[in-house]
Amino acid sequence: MKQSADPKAKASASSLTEKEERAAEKQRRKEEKARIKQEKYYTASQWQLMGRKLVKHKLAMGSAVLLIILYLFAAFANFIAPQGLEDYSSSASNMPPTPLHFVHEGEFIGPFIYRFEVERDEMRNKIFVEDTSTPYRLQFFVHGTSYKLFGLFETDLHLYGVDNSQLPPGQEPLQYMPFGADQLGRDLFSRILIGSQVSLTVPLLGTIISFVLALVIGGISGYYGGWIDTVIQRIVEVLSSFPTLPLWMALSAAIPAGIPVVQVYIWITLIMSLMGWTGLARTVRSRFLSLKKEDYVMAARLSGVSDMKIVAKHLVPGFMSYLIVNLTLGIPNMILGETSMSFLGLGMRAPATSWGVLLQECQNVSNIANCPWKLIPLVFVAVSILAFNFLGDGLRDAADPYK
Amino acid sequence: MSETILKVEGLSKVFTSKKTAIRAVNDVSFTVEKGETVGIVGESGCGKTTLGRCIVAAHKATAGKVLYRAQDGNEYDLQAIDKKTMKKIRKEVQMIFQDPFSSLDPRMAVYDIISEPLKANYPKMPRSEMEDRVREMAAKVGLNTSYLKRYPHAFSGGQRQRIGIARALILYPRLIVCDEAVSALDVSVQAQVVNLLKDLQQEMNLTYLFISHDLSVVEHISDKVGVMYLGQMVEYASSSALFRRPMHPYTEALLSAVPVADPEVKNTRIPLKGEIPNPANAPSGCFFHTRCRYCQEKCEKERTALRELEPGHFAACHRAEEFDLSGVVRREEAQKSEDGT
Repeated sequence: MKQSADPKAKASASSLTEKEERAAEKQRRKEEKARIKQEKYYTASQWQLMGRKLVKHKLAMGSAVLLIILYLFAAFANFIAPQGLEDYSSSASNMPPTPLHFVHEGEFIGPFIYRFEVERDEMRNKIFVEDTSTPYRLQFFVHGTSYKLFGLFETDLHLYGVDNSQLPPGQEPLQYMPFGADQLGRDLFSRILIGSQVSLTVPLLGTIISFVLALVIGGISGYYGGWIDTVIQRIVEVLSSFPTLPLWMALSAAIPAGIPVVQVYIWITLIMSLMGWTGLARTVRSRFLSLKKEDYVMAARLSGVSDMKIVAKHLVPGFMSYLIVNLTLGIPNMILGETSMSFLGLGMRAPATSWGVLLQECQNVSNIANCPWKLIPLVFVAVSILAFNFLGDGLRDAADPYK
Repeated sequence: MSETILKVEGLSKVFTSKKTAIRAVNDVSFTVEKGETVGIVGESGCGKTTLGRCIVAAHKATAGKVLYRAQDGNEYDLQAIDKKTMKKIRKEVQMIFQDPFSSLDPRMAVYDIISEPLKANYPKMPRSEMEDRVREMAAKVGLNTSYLKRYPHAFSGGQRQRIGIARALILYPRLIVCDEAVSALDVSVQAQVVNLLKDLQQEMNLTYLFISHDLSVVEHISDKVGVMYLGQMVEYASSSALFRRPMHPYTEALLSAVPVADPEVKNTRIPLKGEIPNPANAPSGCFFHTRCRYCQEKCEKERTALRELEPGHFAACHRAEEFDLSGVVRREEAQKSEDGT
């Protein structure tokens, strides 16, 4: 009896200790995990800390996603847009947004559109009436105007559209226009996308150029100080006290007439960046001045680190986060600047397009009253500016993890 | 046994702006022997920090010499040497900073902070040797070597100060200027760091110039003490002599402010009248006369200079011989003898 009881007791005892052991092991693992997490925080560099804080900023992250989408749209504009830059159709002049239908004669047949018939009302005004006899199915990957994707690959594939090759001969090709058409019957959605290639990249390039200018000029000003600093600061003051509008006019008058679109683009970018660097240069200078007095800079100097190394290893990393914040918050100004320049006819000119060029048609009040969809580019301007501002706000909150 | 390592002669530093000239350091002279600790005390704004920075040549002095006897036996004036020689001397003269938060670059890992002086001075040192040396130094100052990958934000004030000390010591210097090195720390941590500094001094044969406003810390660590007032050195003596029997009324007033850890002791503080005068517009005669309770006509007119009143005991007071001032030690002893009777 004794012998048979013993192993049982042993087994239960061993299972108990096993259980305990398992619990202890679990606890140990948990603690180890917490320790690793803590250590990760301790060994996190400035950029890692900044990234963590930024990820927690919901509005900024949302804005970042939105901006990525906008820029992807710009990159693939010619593919997504059903129309090319030079397509038009006289019959679609001032056509309102095409309604999208799914059900034809009580039957679900997927997304399709009806053809618009032009009629006149009793005041002899043009009105568009849907001809509901034939549905035209929308399809993915249809062939249309040929273009070069990224300026490299020649193709005529578009993301969506009505397959016009199936139409009986003699019938006018049909277009789905979600945002309506302009005076010349061009699809506004296509033009917004193609215009975003200018309106979203000019600010980016302009900011990069003014960033370099600001870094060099502000850096010289803050590093050398003395009379060099004084001269540079006075130049900055003069430049930033010019009223922008006359200056734009003067500068864009300097753009030679009749040059290719690409050159106009470069000119506008240069004009924008030449006006934009002043504020940034001041930020660079003031950061330089304040960081120069930090004890750790003196410690580096006392241990024999060369001046150039101090600038590269202590000063520039020290204000880089501030600069990026300032850059992000400066982009909206550039978007507005490019849009206003083009709006006033000082920037991009037809046939090239940008959001400002599209808004030119809104200079006429009756145009807005009759075709309110022509204001849609404004939504894109506002949304992209807001997105950059929110992102900049988030970056600013995350910028200095040490304060 | 004693070898003079540092000789400061007539050092002055004037900060000038358009309208005013501030004499932060005014004709200061003293010598420091190898292996000893010299404390510099004074109120804030008396020029202690400026003096320290002039000695490590972070500031260019307006006048005077900082003669440093280097390892090679030659004497160099740190205020007037060319860049090349300076680069050599840099390794031997280092500084520990007051604020452990602003003296470490938050964007660099501890390993990079400590190894930076090595990288700057020995660009050809192999990585493994550098790593060994950083580890050795970190261990010496009491830092866990597994923390080297961390950034300064992971450390407390005391640990940060240890990092600063490791950075100052990595080049094996001979003279170290500690500018309020423990003032920003908690009292308990202060004691740890002061003891660490003392241990390292023995181990590495260091000479300290210990700048502080904390008299008790200075008394604890220093062999000699210099008292500064308005940019001038008003008294310079061995620590025991100065704390036992000061010879300048300002020192007496300073010492009377040191709290004694005994509730029975009566408050014998000597309050100083008024504010410290503006160094841009220093008083005539003895700088201290506006606040001195022993002031006489002579004091208002004639400038003072450090005089050797007893061997090794200097004071800048016209009437030093006339009175018998009491320091902290004396006060305590008097109290004790009273208790005894």
